[in-house]
Amino acid sequence: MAAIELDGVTKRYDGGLGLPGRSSDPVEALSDLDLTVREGDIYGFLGPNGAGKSTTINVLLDFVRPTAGSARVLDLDARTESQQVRERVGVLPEGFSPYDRLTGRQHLDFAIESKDAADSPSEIAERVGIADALDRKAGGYSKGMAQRLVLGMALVGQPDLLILDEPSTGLDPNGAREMRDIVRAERDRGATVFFSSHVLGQVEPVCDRVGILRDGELVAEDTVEGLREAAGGETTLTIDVERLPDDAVTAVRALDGVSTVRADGQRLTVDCADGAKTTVLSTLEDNGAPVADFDTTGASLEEVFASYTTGEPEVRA
Amino acid sequence: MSTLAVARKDFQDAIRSRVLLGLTGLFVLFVAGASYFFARIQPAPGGGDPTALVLIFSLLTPASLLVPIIGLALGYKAVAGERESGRIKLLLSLPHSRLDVVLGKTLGRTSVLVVPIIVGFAVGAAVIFWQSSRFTPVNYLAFAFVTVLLGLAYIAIGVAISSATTSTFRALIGGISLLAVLEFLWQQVLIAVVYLVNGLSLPQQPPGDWYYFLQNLPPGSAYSSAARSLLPQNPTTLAITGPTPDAFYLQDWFGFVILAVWIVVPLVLGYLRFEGTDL
Repeated sequence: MAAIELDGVTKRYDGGLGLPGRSSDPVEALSDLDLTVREGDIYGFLGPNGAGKSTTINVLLDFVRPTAGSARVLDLDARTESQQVRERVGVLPEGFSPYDRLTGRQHLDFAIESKDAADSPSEIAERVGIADALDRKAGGYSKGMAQRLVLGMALVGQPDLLILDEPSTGLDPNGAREMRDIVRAERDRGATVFFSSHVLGQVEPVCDRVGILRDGELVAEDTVEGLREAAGGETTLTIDVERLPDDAVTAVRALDGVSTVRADGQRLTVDCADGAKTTVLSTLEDNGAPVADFDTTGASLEEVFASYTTGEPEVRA
Repeated sequence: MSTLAVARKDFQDAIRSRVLLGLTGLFVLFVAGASYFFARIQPAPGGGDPTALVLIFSLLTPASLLVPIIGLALGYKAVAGERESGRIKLLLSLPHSRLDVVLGKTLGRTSVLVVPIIVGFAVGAAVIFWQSSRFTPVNYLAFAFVTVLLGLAYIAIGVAISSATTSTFRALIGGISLLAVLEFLWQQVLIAVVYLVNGLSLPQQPPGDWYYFLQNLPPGSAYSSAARSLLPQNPTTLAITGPTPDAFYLQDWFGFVILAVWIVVPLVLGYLRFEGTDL
């Protein structure tokens, strides 16, 4: 069974308000989107701002209704069985604001009551790192604390699926790491995690699968490794050596996965497959060229992402 | 269950707001002041000691203006405000239906309104007791109850407008316009309609029952009718209200029906609009 299943989902927003003189062209936020998220996966939903990530999530939660197509969440119809869906889903929405006059505890109590759950607000607050602010009014929370509070609300009731929309917004690097730890822990508990981000670095370390959305269409979907390979996997190694015998250059050139080698005095520039980096370095050492320093550039997933989301959808093979 | 959770949270939130404090203060001042004024200065019909009944009648008109304003003030932000701030996503990420939101908000805001009405009327009762030898708590409680109904009608109207729009500004403008038409301009609107329907002249013969029915249609008028129906039919009452017409829809008790319609119909329309829309 799939945790999330989108089938040909299209969402068009009519331009303007239908008032004369104020209409604009209709905007297609999602175009015939098919998407399947397997149960138990951490699925990273990547794309630049405006690609349709939030619209997709809004469709899953019945916040917006698709123009065409259908969405199923946990094998329930997202439109007609939305309330049952939300009983089993924990959500960290995007663009929310907390109730200024209610304390963190009251927020968590509300989620616990709404979900008919038996969680303890203090334990959840401890988990998301707002224990010391639990009895303060949420109006005084920073963006990051509000984000943690609402993540806590999402964790209430051990949901089968977590939907996190740009979860690292407002979090410092430490907070983002804690967020990823929670995401992993939830997956290990058996939950499926679907989270969107426009920042690749948030997705890369934690996701089992990644889907890249651009202009309302899924332009790539694979594992992190798979995406890296699709991008060619070429890494450019710049190596400074203490000595550079010709034998060493020849040996490196002969290695599998090495495409070009340029020698310039004591500096060697090698284009090679991502996996061949360590072999290149050890081959140099073995052939009388001790490595003083080296640097790697290119072929990061960052570039893969950029090539999918800015240029043509096709990447170099 | 879900509706109650939303209502409770809404009340928790609103009870901490200065709005409630302001409303309570305003309403206490109003009831106490008016009670004192009518007990002290306004002579009762036929002279003599003013009865609580007379006081209640004296409070009807000012209450029918103040309570609608308070009701709308409480209602207009209920849903549109949540949409503007994004809190609606927090609310609807949890397993609540949109109907739960509309009903829960209405219930929560009504509880908020009940607080100033109870406090206000308690203070008013003390003033009346102090100024008048005859105090009838049962009538007074009935009056408080009908006043809550009027508030509920305007909260329902406010929440309905709030559910049907995306901006609190539009909800506010809509609420004020409706209040102006229903409570301040209704007679003029009716006359204008009759004038137009009658071929740009006013009819010579007196209008039929339907005209009086339309006159009684705004929540404020329905409130006055409903309040009158709860008071004992004694000479004092009759001296103030005059004889009642025969048609059932012109009877005072029909005010309750009209108030109920003002509560239910806006909520249904507002909900249907909210249910069909993208957030």
